[in-house]
Amino acid sequence: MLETLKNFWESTGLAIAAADPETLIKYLIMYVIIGILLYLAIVRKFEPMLLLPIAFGMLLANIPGQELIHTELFFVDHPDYGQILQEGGLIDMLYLGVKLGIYPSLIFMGIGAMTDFSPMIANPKSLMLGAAAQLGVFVSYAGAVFLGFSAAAAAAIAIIGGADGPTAILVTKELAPVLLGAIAIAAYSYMALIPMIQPPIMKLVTTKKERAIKMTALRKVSKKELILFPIIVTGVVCLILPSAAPLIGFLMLGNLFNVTGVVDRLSKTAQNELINIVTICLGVSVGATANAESFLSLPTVCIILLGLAAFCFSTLGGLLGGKLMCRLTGGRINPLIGSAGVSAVPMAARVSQIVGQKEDPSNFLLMHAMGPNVAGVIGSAIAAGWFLSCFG
Amino acid sequence: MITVLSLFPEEISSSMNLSEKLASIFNTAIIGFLVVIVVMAIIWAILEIFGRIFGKEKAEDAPEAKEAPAVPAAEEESGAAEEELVAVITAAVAAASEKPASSFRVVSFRRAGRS
Repeated sequence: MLETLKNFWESTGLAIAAADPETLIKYLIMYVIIGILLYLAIVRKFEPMLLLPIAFGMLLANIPGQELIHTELFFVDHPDYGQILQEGGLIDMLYLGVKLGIYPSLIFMGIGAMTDFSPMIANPKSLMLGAAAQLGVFVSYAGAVFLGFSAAAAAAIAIIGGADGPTAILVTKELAPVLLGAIAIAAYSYMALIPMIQPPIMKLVTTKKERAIKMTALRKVSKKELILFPIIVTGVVCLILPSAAPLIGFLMLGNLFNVTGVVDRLSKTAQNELINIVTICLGVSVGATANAESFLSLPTVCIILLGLAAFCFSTLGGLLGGKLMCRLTGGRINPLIGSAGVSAVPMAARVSQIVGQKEDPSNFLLMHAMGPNVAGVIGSAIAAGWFLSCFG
Repeated sequence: MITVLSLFPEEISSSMNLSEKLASIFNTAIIGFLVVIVVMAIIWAILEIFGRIFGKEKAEDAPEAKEAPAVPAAEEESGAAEEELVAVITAAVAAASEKPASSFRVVSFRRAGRS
């Protein structure tokens, strides 16, 4: 009986953790981080749809002795999928959707089905704000290269500045899979913190007079335009950057489902059940890659700092683009809508609205900010396509 | 094993010298940013053409924007309060009719009852 109890004790996570004090400390640090992420998701409601499954995935991956995920099977040049299917655990199976690039594209399809591109079509100048707001991506790439990261890893870290979770995951799983957990957590955490990160920069860069500018109402967009837009954008972007097709192609497919009005069931599935199921699988499996061994390291600290820099520079780029447009149009564009170009739909647009309304309560910038906001989604997908074409 | 004290693991670190780093930044970051701007500018140009074609078509088909059910204004609200009210009414009509707010325009409104 004693032998049975001894065997049982040795198989428990407690015995495995207690066997090595250094490992035990690492696990304890991870539990504190997981606790903070769960608190942010549940109590503060910061991006709970993703932070909650990611944090729980981290918890599962950091239980000593768990057999749910084996990152060592994936983080090699040529994963043996036969071995993964034979020896893998539950989360290994779910992680295949990340490794094969399935989840980010399906999430983009759902986002496309939910997105109304009409503010951008009505005011196409806003595309340039979406482009300007990718500044942070390329600045943080330079920063990461200088810090000593390889070019591919620097690209994966830099794409955090695109403020788009699925894009960051797609690029990272391709270019630096070992950093996936840290990059995904940084990307979603900063997206949740946009209402705190952006306003100080917005106030610093713009004048009181600029923030109070009222913009004229947008023109009505016809159904023909709405239908032609996703088809033409797919053609143009994918012809120039074929590597952006998994993101742009599926974003526009989802949008086409919605705007045509002839496939309501597909549209509703893409924007409800499908995206919800994929979000669960993506969140848990990405979180599970953040084990104590890989997460508690110098690269993670660098990723957190570079990610913050990327968000700040992207906000700055959008605002400078907005200021330039304000000058060029004789003061008809409120530069605050530029900061919405960082993607993170619709939170960044809401921040533009809130900051603008603080200056003048009768100013309604939300619809105007939605233009650069959705343009930012396209811009970050193009930036991702560029990195994938360079290093993929 | 990666520890807090270790530097970057081999698979994500580089041995580039300064000139190689600068070349990488020019080739990837600066050209990449230009590529993003050019592709977005192409889409902008296409959308401008859209606007010319479909904007005119719409103007010929329907010279006036479709208006939300509205009655003549009986009383005037002033300044900020009125604009806020218009925004609220626009949002309410958009939600009730399940149409985008850009597809109609609130031209006038009046209080229906005084209780």
